[in-house]
Order: sequence, then structure tokens, then C-alpha cells
Amino acid sequence: MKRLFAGLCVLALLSLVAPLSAGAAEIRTAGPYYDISKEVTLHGTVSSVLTKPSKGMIGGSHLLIQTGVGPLDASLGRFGLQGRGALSVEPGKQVEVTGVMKTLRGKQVFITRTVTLDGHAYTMRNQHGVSMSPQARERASEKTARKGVSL
Amino acid sequence: MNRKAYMSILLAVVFLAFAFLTGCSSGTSKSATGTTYVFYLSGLEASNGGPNIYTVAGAVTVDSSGNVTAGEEDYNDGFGLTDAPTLISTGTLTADPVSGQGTLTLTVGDANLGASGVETLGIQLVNANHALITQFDGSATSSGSLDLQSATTASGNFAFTISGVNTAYDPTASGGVVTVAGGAMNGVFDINDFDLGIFTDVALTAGTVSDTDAFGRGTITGTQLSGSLAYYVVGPEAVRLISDDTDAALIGSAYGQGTGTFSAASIGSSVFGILGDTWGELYGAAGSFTTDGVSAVTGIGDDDENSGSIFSGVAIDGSYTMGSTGYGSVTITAGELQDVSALGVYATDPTLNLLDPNNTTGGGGALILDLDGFLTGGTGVLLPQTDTNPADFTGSSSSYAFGAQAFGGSDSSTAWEWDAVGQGAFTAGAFAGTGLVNDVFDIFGTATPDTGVTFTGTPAPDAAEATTGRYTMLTGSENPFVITVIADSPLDYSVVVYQASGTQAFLLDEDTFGTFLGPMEQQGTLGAIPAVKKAMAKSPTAHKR
Repeated sequence: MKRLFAGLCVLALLSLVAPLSAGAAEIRTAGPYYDISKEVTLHGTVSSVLTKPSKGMIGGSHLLIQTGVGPLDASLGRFGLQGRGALSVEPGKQVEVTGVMKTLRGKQVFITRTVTLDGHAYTMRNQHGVSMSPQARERASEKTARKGVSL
Repeated sequence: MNRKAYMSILLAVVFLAFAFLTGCSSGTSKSATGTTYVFYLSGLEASNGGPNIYTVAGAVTVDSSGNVTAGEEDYNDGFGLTDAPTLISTGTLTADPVSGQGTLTLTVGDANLGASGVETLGIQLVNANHALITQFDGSATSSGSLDLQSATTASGNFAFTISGVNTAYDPTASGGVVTVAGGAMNGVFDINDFDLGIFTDVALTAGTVSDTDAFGRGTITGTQLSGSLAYYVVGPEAVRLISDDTDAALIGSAYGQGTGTFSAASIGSSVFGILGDTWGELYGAAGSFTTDGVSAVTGIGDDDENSGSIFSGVAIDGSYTMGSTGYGSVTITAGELQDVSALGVYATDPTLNLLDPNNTTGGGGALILDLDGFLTGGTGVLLPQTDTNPADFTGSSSSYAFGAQAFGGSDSSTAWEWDAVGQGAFTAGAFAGTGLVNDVFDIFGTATPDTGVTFTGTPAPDAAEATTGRYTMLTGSENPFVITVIADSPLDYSVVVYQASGTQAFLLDEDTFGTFLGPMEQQGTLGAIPAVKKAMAKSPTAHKR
């Protein structure tokens, strides 16, 4: 009986942590991937910086943030921590993140559009939730610099 | 002057005249002997401070011994490496005469490309006129096609799609229908751009289309699509497109629409495959649907999004339109296929084969542009679904070539793309093949181009396969598609297959760690290939992990 109980516990735990496997579709309501009208801004302390996703997370880099309402998995997208002009942050830092909370692969994840650190806002994604590359950040800064010269 | 000296001078003059007439004096002239192929590739560049997106299109002439005698190519990463064009001087086409697998080396006029100016492409011949290709050196990885050039000029009505990055180095893609006549191009297009947004049915500002050179290369200027767009003619109704702008990189194809008009009845039972831009959201989607011939579509689909989830074998329905010019759309009910919902559809000549432009048995189809805001950069192909009988596909004794453009990472990887080409055959429904994988970004732990990679799996037909053409090889069903890059280290993938006919299908990987999409094409006769004959590896190499 003990063995059966232990087995049931393992099964119950597995059902909680196993990502959705191929062959099953999540319940998905109609609407865009990133609905900017549902954006929220949260504050918290960075507890972990993940340059690569852990098992079950969506692709790209992540910040694990301790907020006033609990832990937050903030997805920064594919390029969030890469290249020149990228966000550089360490555990213990206070950050402000703006994005949309979603359920993906059976887990709550915060799709981060901007991260504000020490008063500087870093753009991770555009208004549709598409990741912004280091090359695009460089282009944007060049354009800003050129505009500065013309003034 | 004695007679010997006179004869020497005369012979020299005759030789020079012959050389001039056969084009040896001009780098952009076609050799008098040899076969010319047009190729194009797009993917991820490791050189030039990469990963950067990059694009290549060109034409190369190969003599009967497999020697590259001349050629030219446009190379563009939109980030410092733009050759518009650079000349190809020498090289070698090497292929296994049985499998059609091999390499094509190209010595180009820019030492920054490939390995000090020598590019190596991995090739998988489908038949004597068509190969699936991948860049196969340490500079980049990509997927594309190499096709016999059967004409050097093209005009008339065309459907097109192009994708890549815009001048802000953000993902963008466009598609539409155009008319090319008298050196001008007019038409309408749709655009899905990271920065501009989504616009449909936009009138194209009349473009100027230059004449082509001896390699079938010309330029298109003055449109909103790109500052300067180069094109290479494959045949009268097939053209490869590449942007020559130094701050943007775009690539695509245009296919003829024939002389007829289109209607809703032009789109019937179809299989589709859509892949994201390597610089946009990394996703792959495939499916099949039937139409009512008027306005409704019903079918099944699969969608794997790197930043989302996997929708596997879900029912889809929705609506479609098709105008007389071949400009149309498919709208899948929002949410049914995750973020894949709005598609621009541009119909082509029903006599064309969109995967193999020199093959006249394809039945046409359409080019697809993803018009969903999150999926900027996604493009694909719609193929008529004419045969779902497994006996003609997994039950056949034919061999099949395949390709895969893959997005995904690992603990060791420095970026997200790998590409593969290969071939194999079914035995009692089980597929076994070998191929080439470019692991330049160290996703498999080799960080090198790999030969002798094995691919095995047994596509299990769905219960409704006769209607859908869908098969699965799923890890969850203990029936995976197995790829072995490193000897004794097989990796399991969940892959679905959509059969369009006995000769064409799409492979879609749907794993949480990545996705790939590629064609599967029945192999034809390889005998007439002008290549150095050399056997390729049949098993994976041992690598330290």
C-alpha cells in the first residue's frame, strides 16, 4: 500500500511538472500573442539571471524576479541579454518590467517588452511581442545619434 | 618574319578571338560549354561578428567534369557584407552518383565570404536539374535550392514572397502579385514588418526592371520592396530575388502565373508549410485543408512556436479569397492554430512545381505570407494535395531527398539555427536515410559541418490520413524521428509529415526545444549530373561531446 501511495504521489508530481507534449493543444483564446492592452508594470528584485531557458521554459533568456505578489518568470526573448547595448543585470538588483502575463507550455510566464534598470529602459520586444536584436538596437542608436547631429 | 613565327602569331590571334567570342574575357559572360545552375540560400551567418541573418543568390556554370568555370553571386547580410554581385571564378561540384549527395565549392571575389573567399555548399540532388542545398562551411548555415537555368529572361505575371530584415535590422516580409513588361513592374503587395506593421493590398510603386546579363541576373529598382533588388532567372516562370541594400537583407522567389486568370475554384485541397524568418519569431507550421471552392476552408494543422507552445494536429477552419489576378488570402479562425491565422496567398501557374521549378508535374499552388503580427517574417508554400495514398509514399520503393531549416538551441549552442539535407528510402514503411548537417553554432556539440548523419523513423498514418495526408513520428508515442549526428548518440524528435502527393511532402518538427520544416521530394534520375563522382559518408563521425 505504501508503494502504491508513493507511486501515486510521483504520478501526481509528474502531472504538475510535465510540459505539454506534442499531440495536445493548449486551450487558447482568440487574440494576439502579445496584447498590448493587457500590459502591466511590475517591480521586484532579480533572484536569478538565465541566459538560456531551463527545461519547460519558452526559448530565450529569462529573469526570475521576486515581486510583491510572488516569484515571476520574466521572458526577455532571444536577444535580451545578447550583444552590445543589451541588458546587463545581476541578482539582487531592483528592476521594473513591463509586459503581458501569459500561460505557455502549462506555466505562467511574463512576456517582457521593456526592463528598466537604474533608470534606463531596455527594449526587449516590439508591440507584437517579437524580440528585438542587438543589431537592431545598434541601428536604432545610430539613427538617434544621427538625429542628434542634424539638430 | 619566318614562317614559324608567323604561324605562332596567327595561332595566338585565332586563340584570342575564340576566347573573346566564348566569353573568357568577361567575368560576367557565360562559358560556351557547361551547365548553368541558379542557387539561393538564406540563414544565419557566424562570420562578420554573427549571428547575423544572411542571404545569397547566384548563378554558376559547371563543365562536364564538375569544374566550376564561371559565375556570379549576390551575398548580403545587411550588416557590412554586401556583394552585388561578386564573381565566381573556380570551384568543384562533387556528388555521390548513387545518393546525389555532395558539395559545391565556389571561389568568389570577396575574401570575407566563406573560408577566405571559398564557400562550400552541401548539396542533395533530387534529380539532374534540382538540388536542396545548405551552406556547409564554418562561416554560416542556411537552406536553399539549386536549379538548372533554362532561360535567362522572364516576363509576364508573377506571384512573389520575400523575407529578411529591414533597414532597422528587424524582421520583415512581403508578398504579392506583379506584372513585368517592357522593363517595368507593377502590382499589389502585402507587407508584415516589425516596425511598419501590417498592410495589405498596397499598390506597388512602378519599378524599373533592368535587362539580364549572361547569367540571367538583373535588378529591380524604384519599388517599396527594397532599394535595389537583384534577380536571377531560373526559367521563364521562376526567379530568385535578393536585396542588394547595404542596410537590409531580403531574399525570396517569384513564380509565373501563366496566362489564365484565377478564381476561388483555383484553390482546392492543399498542403501548406510555413517557416519563420531566422531573425523573427522562430516557428514552423504545416497542415492540410480542403476548400468548398467558394470561400470556406476546413482542415488540420500543426504549429510549433519557440516563444509559445505546440499545437499538434488541431482542427482548423476559416475562410479564403482568391481574386482573378491570383491575389488572395486564407484566414484560419483565430486561436485554432495558435498565432497562425492571417495568410496572404499568391497563386501561381498550375503547370509549375514550386519546390522544383524545372519539373512540370507539380500542379502549381501558391506562395504564402504570414500576416500575423507576432509572426513577422514567416513565408511558405501551398501545394495542391493530389494523392494521400500511403502506398504511393511511405509504401513506395522510391528514394526521397529532404531538407530541413531548423531553429533550436542547446546548452553548448552559440546561436539557434542548423540546417540539413539528405536522402533515403522507405522499407516496409520505415524511413532510413543519411545526410549533411551544418552544426556551425554547436547545437549538437560538434561545431562543424557533419557528414554521414543518419535519419530514421516510421511515419504512422493518422486515422484520418486518407483525408489529411498527415503522419506522425512522436516521442510521446515512442515512435520518434531519430537524428544521429554523433555516433552512438541518437537524438529523438517529434516530427509530423504532410503528404501532398506521392512525390512531395513536408516534414515539421514539433519539439519544445525547437522546430524545423523542410520538403521531402521523390528522387529522379541523377545520371546527367556534371560532377566529380565521389562517395559520401554513410554513418556519423565520432565526436567528443
